[in-house]
Amino acid sequence: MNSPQSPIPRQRLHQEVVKKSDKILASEAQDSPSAFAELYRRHLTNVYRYLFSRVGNIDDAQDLTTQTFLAAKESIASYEGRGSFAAWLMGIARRKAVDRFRRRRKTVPLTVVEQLSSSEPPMEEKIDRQLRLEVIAKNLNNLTPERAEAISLRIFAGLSTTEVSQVMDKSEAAVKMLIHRAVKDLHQYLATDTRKE
Amino acid sequence: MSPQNDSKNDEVQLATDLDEFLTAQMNGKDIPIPPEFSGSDAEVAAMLTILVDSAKQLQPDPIFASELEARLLGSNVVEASKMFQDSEETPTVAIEDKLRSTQSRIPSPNLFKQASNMKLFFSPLSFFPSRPIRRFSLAAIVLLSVSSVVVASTPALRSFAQSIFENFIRTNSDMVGSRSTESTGKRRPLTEKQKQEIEELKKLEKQWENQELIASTVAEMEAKIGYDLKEPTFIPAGYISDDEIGSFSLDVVMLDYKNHQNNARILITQKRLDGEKIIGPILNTPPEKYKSKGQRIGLTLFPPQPNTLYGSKDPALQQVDKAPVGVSAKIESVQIGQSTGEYVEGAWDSIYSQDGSSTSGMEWNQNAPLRQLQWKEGNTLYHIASTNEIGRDELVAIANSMR
Repeated sequence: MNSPQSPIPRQRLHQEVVKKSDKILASEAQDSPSAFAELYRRHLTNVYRYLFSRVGNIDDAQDLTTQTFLAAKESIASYEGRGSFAAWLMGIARRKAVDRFRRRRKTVPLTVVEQLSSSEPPMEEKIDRQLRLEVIAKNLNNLTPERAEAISLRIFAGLSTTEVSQVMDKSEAAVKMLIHRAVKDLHQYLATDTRKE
Repeated sequence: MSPQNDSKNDEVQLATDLDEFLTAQMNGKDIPIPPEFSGSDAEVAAMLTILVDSAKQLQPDPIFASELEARLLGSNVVEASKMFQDSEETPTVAIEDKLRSTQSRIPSPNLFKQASNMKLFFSPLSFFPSRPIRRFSLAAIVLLSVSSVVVASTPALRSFAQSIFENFIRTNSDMVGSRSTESTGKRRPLTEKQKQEIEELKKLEKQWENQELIASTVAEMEAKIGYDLKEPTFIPAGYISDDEIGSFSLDVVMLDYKNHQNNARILITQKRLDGEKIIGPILNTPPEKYKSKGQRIGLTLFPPQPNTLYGSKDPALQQVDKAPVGVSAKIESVQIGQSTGEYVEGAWDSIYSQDGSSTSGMEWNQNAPLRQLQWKEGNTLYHIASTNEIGRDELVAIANSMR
């Protein structure tokens, strides 16, 4: 799984904590808040990206991210080290997103300007990025649920194909196929959008 | 094999190739689209690159991230609160009150040599946003009265007190220095000794400047000072880190967080106890000239030899490993990881000469809108000072998040 930079305003951790694997930290996290905090820092960005890609707006993405980590903390003892911790955590995130979909089918419009990097790129670039994210998120909603799920887990959650296959309970070949088709569909939708313009 | 099967096999192969391309993209490898992709396949691969790029642009809001981390670490905060929920005064405070009443009656043979005073006033507002070392300009060094002193204290009793309070130390009185009624408008000429000490201060300041102990990141500062620093992983919403990290010397480094809406501030000081001898940090309300600029918090640090603060003989102002607080300060114990920290509300107010041109002392003000938390880990003293927008539990949460 990718390890994107944490958004938390400090980026250096105790060497001994950093060295520990997710599995060791997860076993320690039952008694150690700092071990869970380290897991949180490692996985926050990917959980957030995944949920954002599923719900398409900041408020819901933050809410579901909070729910995911609170649930993970609550049930950390149930993670037995089978499969990656990232896949286990994304499984929780996925269930939270599904619950949200059941309750509220429609997504609200994207507001991604605030999501963009704080390095303040030029306005044209901001608009371009915003439009691109809006278009992508809109078209993700048009994909079949399985294809959308596969692409969100693989690209936005940063899981490996093996991990996606664990979360979705499918073979790796099936996941690769789902992603290939999802990207093809997205490409087609975008081409159609462009032609309409 | 039927044409249908061929097509299926082609798709499986393409999906596998695309997956490899995707893995490389996600690992940050800037690789070209594979040559075997042609036409629409190449466009699909290009689409994938856009998707990966877009995903990378999505970052959770740092304030949201910090608040959630604090919430997840919440159990520690609760533990700290629970410690005193049944009683306003901790048992430690009660013991110290008894100790204090005894201590004041006992004289001591410690002798401190006659010295002039030096106060280096930390004014984060003017100091941190620019070059930190400049904060120690001679303009900020206040030369005070000179006095010959004999300090009273029983070493055994002091040792006992220190074993109770690991971090803060109370002065013998809430007043340090004097309430000067003399206008400093007509200053007496400096003695040779005072002139000599000013020259020494100038040299010291030059040394600090030459060390260029300014950095834009903690990692950069670590490279300069040669040892690891800690940073908070939790800072309450609305506070942002200053662009520059300042260092008083090789052994004292400060991190500065400010809320630009209300000038509220959090100052985190890390002081190595096995390095240069430096007294403080002493938490001050700022002098008027700084207050008028929106400054709300000040810290004082000074090397103990040959200087004293306001000519005071108080042993608490010679103690390198503890921050001095007034005799009436209420000290509460809090748990910071494996260490016991101490929390104090209030700060030292400066006492001004009649014409307001200089300070002649400081007085502990229990109601000053400042608070501080201190603890030790190994050879390092950690001190977090803040304006009163930050509560005790938040200070404890910040302390517990130091990594």
